[in-house]
Amino acid sequence: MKSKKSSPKPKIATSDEPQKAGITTAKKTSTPAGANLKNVPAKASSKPRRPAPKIPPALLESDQPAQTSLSGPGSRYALGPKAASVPVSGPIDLGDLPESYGTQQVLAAARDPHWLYVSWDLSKEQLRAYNAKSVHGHLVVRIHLHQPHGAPHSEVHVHPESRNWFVYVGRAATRFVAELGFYRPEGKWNSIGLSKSTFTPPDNLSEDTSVEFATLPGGVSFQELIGMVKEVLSENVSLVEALREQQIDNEIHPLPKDSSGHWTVEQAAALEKMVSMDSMRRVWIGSLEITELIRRKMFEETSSIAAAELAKRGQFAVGAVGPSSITSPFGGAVEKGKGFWFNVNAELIVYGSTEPDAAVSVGGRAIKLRPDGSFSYRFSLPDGNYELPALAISAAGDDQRQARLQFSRRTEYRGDVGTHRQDKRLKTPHPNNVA
Amino acid sequence: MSGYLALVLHAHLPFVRHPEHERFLEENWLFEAITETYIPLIQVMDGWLREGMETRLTLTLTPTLCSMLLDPLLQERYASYLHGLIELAEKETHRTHWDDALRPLAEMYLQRFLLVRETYFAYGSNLVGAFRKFQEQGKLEIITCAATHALLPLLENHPESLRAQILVARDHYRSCFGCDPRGIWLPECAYVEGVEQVLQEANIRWFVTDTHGVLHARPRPRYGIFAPIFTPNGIAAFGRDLDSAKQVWSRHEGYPGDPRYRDFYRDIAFDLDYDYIKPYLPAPPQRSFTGIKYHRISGPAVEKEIYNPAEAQQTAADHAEHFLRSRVQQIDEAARIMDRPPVVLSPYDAELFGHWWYEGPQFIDYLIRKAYYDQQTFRLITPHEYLKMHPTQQVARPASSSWGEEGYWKVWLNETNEWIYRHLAIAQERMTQLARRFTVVDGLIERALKQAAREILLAQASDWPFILRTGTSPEYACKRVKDHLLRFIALHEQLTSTQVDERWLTQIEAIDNIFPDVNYRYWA
Repeated sequence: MKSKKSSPKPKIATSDEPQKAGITTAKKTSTPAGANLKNVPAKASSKPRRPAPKIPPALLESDQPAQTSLSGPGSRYALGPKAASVPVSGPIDLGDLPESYGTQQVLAAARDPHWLYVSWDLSKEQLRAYNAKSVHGHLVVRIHLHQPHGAPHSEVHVHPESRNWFVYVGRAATRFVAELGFYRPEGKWNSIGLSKSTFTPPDNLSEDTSVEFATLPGGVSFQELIGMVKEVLSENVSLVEALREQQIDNEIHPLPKDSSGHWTVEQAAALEKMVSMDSMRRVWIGSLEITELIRRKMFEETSSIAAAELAKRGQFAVGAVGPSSITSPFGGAVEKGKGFWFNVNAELIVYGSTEPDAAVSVGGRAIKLRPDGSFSYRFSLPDGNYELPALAISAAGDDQRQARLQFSRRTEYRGDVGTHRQDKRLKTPHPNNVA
Repeated sequence: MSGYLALVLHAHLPFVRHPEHERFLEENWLFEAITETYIPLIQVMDGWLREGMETRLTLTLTPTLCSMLLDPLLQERYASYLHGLIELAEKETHRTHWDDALRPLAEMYLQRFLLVRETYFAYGSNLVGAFRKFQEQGKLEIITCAATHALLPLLENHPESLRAQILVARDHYRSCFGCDPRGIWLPECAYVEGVEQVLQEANIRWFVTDTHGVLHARPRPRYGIFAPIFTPNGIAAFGRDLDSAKQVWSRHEGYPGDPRYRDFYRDIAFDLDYDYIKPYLPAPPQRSFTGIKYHRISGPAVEKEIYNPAEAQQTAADHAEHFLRSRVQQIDEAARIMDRPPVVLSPYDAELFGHWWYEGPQFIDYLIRKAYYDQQTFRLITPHEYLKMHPTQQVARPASSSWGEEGYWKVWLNETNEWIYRHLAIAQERMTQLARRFTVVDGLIERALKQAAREILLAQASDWPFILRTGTSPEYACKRVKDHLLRFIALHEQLTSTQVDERWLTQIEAIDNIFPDVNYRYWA
């Protein structure tokens, strides 16, 4: 499975300032996701409308459609088509989050081996004041290697209103520090704040193939182990080193012979082959939600087959509509290919009432009465002839009444008519929405 | 025996509990998972126990999930949900009276739901207690997770928060299971250097990383993922086996996509008359899952086919056999190369089995039974048991990694959700200031500090940025983050500038009632 790349890519600065080596700008991130969630009113149709025919109210009572738009995510969070929950209101409406807190703190976090996330907490006024002092009219993020000294590894010119940036650093297994600041008109760097350091994850096998073993008996707590070696334990000496130094690990559990270091090149190569991390196998999958993408892909493949089959039979023009509209794995629309569709079904409602303590059976099956002695049952009614005996026996068992209901359904179809209500708004999720 | 297989299931749901509403759609996450995953799993494990099988399984029960499973309000609501489900299934058996294809399925659902109810009440509505029983009998290792499933690498900048997430989880585990956790599921398998310091403090002995978390360790691990490594401070890191992951997840080989399995989406809620289905919808007028689904995934046919349970069950058995044979072959091959018995660790989201992949619990049942009765190559084991038998391991530093898209934190830190971290960074620092300032307190101030700790923890959950990224319920996720942060801000202000509003505090204590004994001093 190919991984999707949606990270912001660096681009060349458009500022008037001459480009310096290592200076890049990165795409501005969007405004807070939660900042703008207002409903957009539906667009009014410009076409004049004919007055709607009068419909008896009874016909409008049933089968109201859902009010919300649908999609088809599949996950532990899935509740069917896109869930629009009741808004959670706190006991007291606390308003909205502040835009910023004005602490001037700079935060840097490695997001993956090649990208850093940098954000800064400046108020609108602080931003305005710094931008005014900057020769560029905006701030600059400096990325330092290891320590914030000397020439930076790179610089990124950021949007004047931005409070965060995803910065491409392109170096795995490296410690970085971010610095926020600006250039004064005389060219002097003015620092606003420094982040704590952050370490980009390594993305390859280590060249270091040295092997050291340690023995950590499960039955002894860390607190006890630390107590045994507290004299040698320090910031520079780890617990396993201290245990080894004190030869405590051998005392507790002597090293098995097979761990003493006889490991051939052939063994290493054979095992590496079994667990290689080549790009084809680099399928970062785990979360439940990813199966959605997998199923979607499977569906695309199978529907391509379906498209070809149907095209062969002349039922479907390949190319007119994408193959993904032929069928849906989600119980969704099958009608897209033809534009118009019709589903019709029939059910039967049998209802009645008797003494609340009577025993009632419908179709030979005992049913539950409501507290007032009434009952109501629906029956799916396919084509055919049916009988439905209904029987009520008094609580004392000394009286009974019976009804033998008879039904017949015969349907004549003209054109392609389905039988189940299939909500055409059930759609496959967008792959970008799947982790 | 040539080696070991450790099957690890991660059961987690975010804390969703809304006493302020009579019905709340997202509470169904829990109800569906109980019905389709947790109780079927308990039923399957009870079967193994009855037969006296020597089985081993490892299961994360996250603190948020345990809190919800033990919450009286949610227990009551679940019982009512189940009652509705049974009523609907019963109606369905009548409705499908003349439909020979659907009637057996309606009857199957009715029987299953009745059995679910029987199991639920047999355990006194206490599923945490049910799982605890299996642990006490030595068949299950229950592990913990970060308190609210926070993505720990994104707390690297604030070690006090990272520490609190682990120690609060440890304390909660003690209150649920009467002992200390030996292992932890790092949320989303996300590891960053520094996590192990807190794990050591909590006396947690092992965790799981994704494959590259171990493979990219420094120095290079000799045994790949076929043995754990010890971090320099002695915590074992087990790497996820990619082959077994692929067999379940791959689009070409993945089992859950088999057309004979039940379809997840085609629920009667979308097929049937609205008036009929309305009483059973969690949030009418919106149609959402009822749990009754009559169709199978099907192939390329235009119309979905009717589900055939017997055929699906046979498919689950075949897939279990395939999985088993693949592990036998893999472990045999690794054992021939290695100078010690290899261990294969296969972790999955628990909710995959049953909720999403309906036949998943049957698959697990077949797999464990076949592993126990039909082969001699490997033994089922838990990581703790493995470490007891093999306490000598290579020392290496695991690589930062997660099991999310592309292997790091992109899912939880991107343009859709980055705003969360800017607010969290400030709130977390303020929480530490509060914990350092209020060292000796009681009464109202202590209550406010504890509530502030709860609000921070709830805002840190990785579920919210995940949902914002995937777009499944973004409005809800956004609101949750904001509500918790705003409540924290108000508490901080009351504690530092004004005075604690007891009436308001009592209200939010009743809503966000997780971790009643939270120790706010962990943030100091």
